[in-house]
Amino acid sequence: MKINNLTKRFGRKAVFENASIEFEENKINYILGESGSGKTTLLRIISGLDKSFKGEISPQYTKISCVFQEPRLFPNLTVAENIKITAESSPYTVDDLLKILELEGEADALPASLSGGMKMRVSLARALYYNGDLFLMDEPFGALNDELRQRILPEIFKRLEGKTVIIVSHNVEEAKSYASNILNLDLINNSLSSK
Amino acid sequence: MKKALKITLVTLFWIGIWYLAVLIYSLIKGMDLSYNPLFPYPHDVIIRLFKLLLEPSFYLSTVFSLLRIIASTVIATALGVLSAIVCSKINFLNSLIKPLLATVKSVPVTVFVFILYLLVFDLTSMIITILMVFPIVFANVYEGIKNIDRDLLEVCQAYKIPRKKRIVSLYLPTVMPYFVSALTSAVGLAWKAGIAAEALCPPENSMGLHISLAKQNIDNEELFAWALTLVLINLVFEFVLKKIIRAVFKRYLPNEVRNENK
Repeated sequence: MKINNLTKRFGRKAVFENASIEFEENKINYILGESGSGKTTLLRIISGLDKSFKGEISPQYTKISCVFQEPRLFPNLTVAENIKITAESSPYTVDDLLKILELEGEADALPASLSGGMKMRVSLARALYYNGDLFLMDEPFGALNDELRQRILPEIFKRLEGKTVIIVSHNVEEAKSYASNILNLDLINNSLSSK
Repeated sequence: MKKALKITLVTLFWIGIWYLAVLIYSLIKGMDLSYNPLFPYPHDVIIRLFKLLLEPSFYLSTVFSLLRIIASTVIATALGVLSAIVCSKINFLNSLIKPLLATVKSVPVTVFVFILYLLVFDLTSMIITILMVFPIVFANVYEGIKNIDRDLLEVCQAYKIPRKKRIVSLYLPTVMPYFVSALTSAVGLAWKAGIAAEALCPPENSMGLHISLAKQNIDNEELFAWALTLVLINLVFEFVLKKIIRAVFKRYLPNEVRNENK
């Protein structure tokens, strides 16, 4: 997956200036970088939520599972309804997803009764249920403690096999463990600014 | 039981205040303490109300006034909701509607009644009710739409959630509390403005006509009896409305509204 000649500005400040970025398709890609390096912006551009940029993305994915930096759950829907809202059918059942994400018994709970970490796991379940061809995940495991992370990450990545996955993270160890390709946005930005 | 006792105590307190006010007024004016035709005691008003209840015209007028106000409220609510939806999409229309809202807000109801009196005599009270209810519903629903969570809209966009699901899962739950709040305050205002318009420009078979006649005949006992009737009908009306809203839109209301006065 290639992004060619990407230019994105916020007012006068350029986040990307004629940058070319490549991701491995059907693999796990991690994006690392300091705050403000444009990680979230890049995901928003790829997802189509931000259309105010110059450049070309190919191929264009149409079915994209997004995990945002915040859980972004519908407050009036239960956990199960929040998961099922994205698709009529899925290769996974809600019960299976709740089991692997250790949310058993929470299907009928409203988001307000869940902790931050639990909400984030519901957001992950929603993305898996939608089963996009491309997964864009913005710091999806940041709210999970180490023990939980060790238990559920292998289960999640098992279900992401064969998908193109782009994950934004600050966790270098996690990236080294699971990524096929690691992209450091700081390096891209530095090479651009030194040109 | 606790609630019934509370309501009884509150009612008794205000009836007590009413007696006291009549007594003080009669003393100041040097009038008969046992009976005051200008500022009647509660028991005299209730006796008069029972007398009114025996007259068929009471029911006919009440039903017709009720129907007029309900019909106008429904029309104004529908117009308010539709306009709010359209104006939230097209900014120019919002600017276009603002002068109308400002006019309705600042011009007293009486002025509108006098204008409409000459133009559409029979429809005056209905148009007044619509003019009073429409801005409240419009402003609240518009505010509700504008407060829809942008982050959740992005979720809908990212996952290509169909329009029907967006309305049910996002728009209705966000806008409904604003709509309910608008409707409950608008209903009270609809009553006040509608009956005031009827009294100033009385159509046949209306509560306003009876109020107007009572005023002409300086029959304050009857005026108070009609006022009491209005209070009672409004209480029932609001109670029924809340029940209907809760039954129909229960899942879209926040918990505090769902459980209010359960």
